[in-house]
Amino acid sequence: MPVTLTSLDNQEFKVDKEVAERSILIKNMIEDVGESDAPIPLPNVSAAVLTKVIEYCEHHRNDPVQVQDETDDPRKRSNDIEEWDMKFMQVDQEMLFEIILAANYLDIKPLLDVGCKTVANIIKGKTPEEIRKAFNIVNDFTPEEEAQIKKENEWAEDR
Amino acid sequence: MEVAEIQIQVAKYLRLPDLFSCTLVSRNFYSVFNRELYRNLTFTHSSSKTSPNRWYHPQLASSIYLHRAHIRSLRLHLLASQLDRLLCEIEGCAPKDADKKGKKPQRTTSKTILFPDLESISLTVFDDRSPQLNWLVHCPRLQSLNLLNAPDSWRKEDVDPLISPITSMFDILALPFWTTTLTHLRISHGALSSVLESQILHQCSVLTDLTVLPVDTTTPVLQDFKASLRNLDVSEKKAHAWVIQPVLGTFTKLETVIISEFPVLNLMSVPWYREAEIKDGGVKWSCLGLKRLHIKILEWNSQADKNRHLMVQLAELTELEFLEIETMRCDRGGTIVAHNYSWKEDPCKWNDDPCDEPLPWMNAMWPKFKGYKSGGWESRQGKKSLQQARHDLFFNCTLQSALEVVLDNYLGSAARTP
Repeated sequence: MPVTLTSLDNQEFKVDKEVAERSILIKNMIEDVGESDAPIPLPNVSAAVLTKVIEYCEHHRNDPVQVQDETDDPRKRSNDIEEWDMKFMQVDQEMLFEIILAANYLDIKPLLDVGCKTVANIIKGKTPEEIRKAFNIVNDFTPEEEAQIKKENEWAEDR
Repeated sequence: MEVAEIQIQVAKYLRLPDLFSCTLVSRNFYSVFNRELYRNLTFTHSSSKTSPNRWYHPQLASSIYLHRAHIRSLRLHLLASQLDRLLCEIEGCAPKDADKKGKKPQRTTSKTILFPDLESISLTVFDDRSPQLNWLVHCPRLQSLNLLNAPDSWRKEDVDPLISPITSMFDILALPFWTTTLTHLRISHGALSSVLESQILHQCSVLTDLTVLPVDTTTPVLQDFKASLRNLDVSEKKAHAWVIQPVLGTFTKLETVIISEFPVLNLMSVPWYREAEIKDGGVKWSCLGLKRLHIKILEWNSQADKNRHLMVQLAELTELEFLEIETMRCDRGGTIVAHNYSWKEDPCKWNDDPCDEPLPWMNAMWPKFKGYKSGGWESRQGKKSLQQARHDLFFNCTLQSALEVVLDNYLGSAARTP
């Protein structure tokens, strides 16, 4: 049975229920409301971003249930992104962050994970200056502050 | 989600050098990534090749002291002398010692709270020397305590728990510091009984996750946790005799059980229920709210009637959401294949690999069922492939048909209607 989703800019998207239910938010809404033809409003997601999110959910519609990650391991791997997901995430930075925000709002954990891994991979191996350049960030530290931080955290520097 | 929250999520995928770089990007980045840099600290034995030994850096102790409020998790895999040196240096940074310039820092007996917000400690001491552990008691928010030891040295039969380093840990445990905060406790040594004798565990009123490896005769003591314990891992060979005690049925809040061996015949005396009454042709049991069941080794007999009690028990677990059977051992022909397995470091850990979607009959059997997993299958012919075991041999055929027989014979066909 198809479900209608309405984006921030009032565009309607008809998707299979099982695709829409990759979003835990939508799944819970459907369960709460019961059988209904009424569109589901998603006021935090634009049509452009929702198009991408639906594309992701369509591709992963048959993925198995992901058991909640209860691992104690504080550091996770980011080099295990599937090839399709990697291509899917080849978008401009604004869209990348919009997808991450939408994934969080819609509660699609696998999409949130792959978004964060992609950002992490952009950061990895870069110097502070290269990170600033990659994300268009202005350095607002004074030289003294920068030196102090460098001293305090030097133990963690790559040696 | 704020930008800072995205940054925190991203930080989980970054290693120390990248976190370090991020702290130097901007003030905004610093506020998030500096916190993440110190959130989970791991210091490893110098001989480790996988994790660089960073703790000898001259600036480290003062940096840890300075940012100690950010520290949530400490993993220490060290020699006792290394652990002592690290803590001594950190304590030496406390103001009262810092004022005494030029004086070699001494371990203090003060009640300085070194780690005010520390929630989790995993401690492995690699040698036979006892480290000083007084600092542990000054972690007022401790929720998880993992006391591990190197298998090679601690698994020896001749190690006397009363003179070995872990004795110090028992002394620490004997102090009622975490009785209202400690929810996770893992102790991997047969000397657990010494802890139990110290009475401290009786006072841990919020303990929900307990891992004990191995355990022989501690069942009566564990009854004290029946009001709170949610997750129990007894994944050690000797545990099985202990598990098969009626007391397990009194753990009314148990949600996850990980058991090393699940022999069918012995199950006749294992009540998962508060009021166990096993009689042919009639069952009057109160179910536990078990949500996750992970059986490491299931001994299976090809004659269905001998599996009857297991089947009834599985069918009665109405709250069951996940079922994992890691290895099934078949005694067809009367010979059980010897099996070796190893336990993992993390307590009560539910493997985070994706589950298989429930089969239709599983949803009919367990209304809240979300997924299942299976590992290998062993028989006299040797271990068969994962896929073959998963669907054809067990979950899709044997278990389903056995459960249906049980339902029809003992619970009535109505029980199959969701």
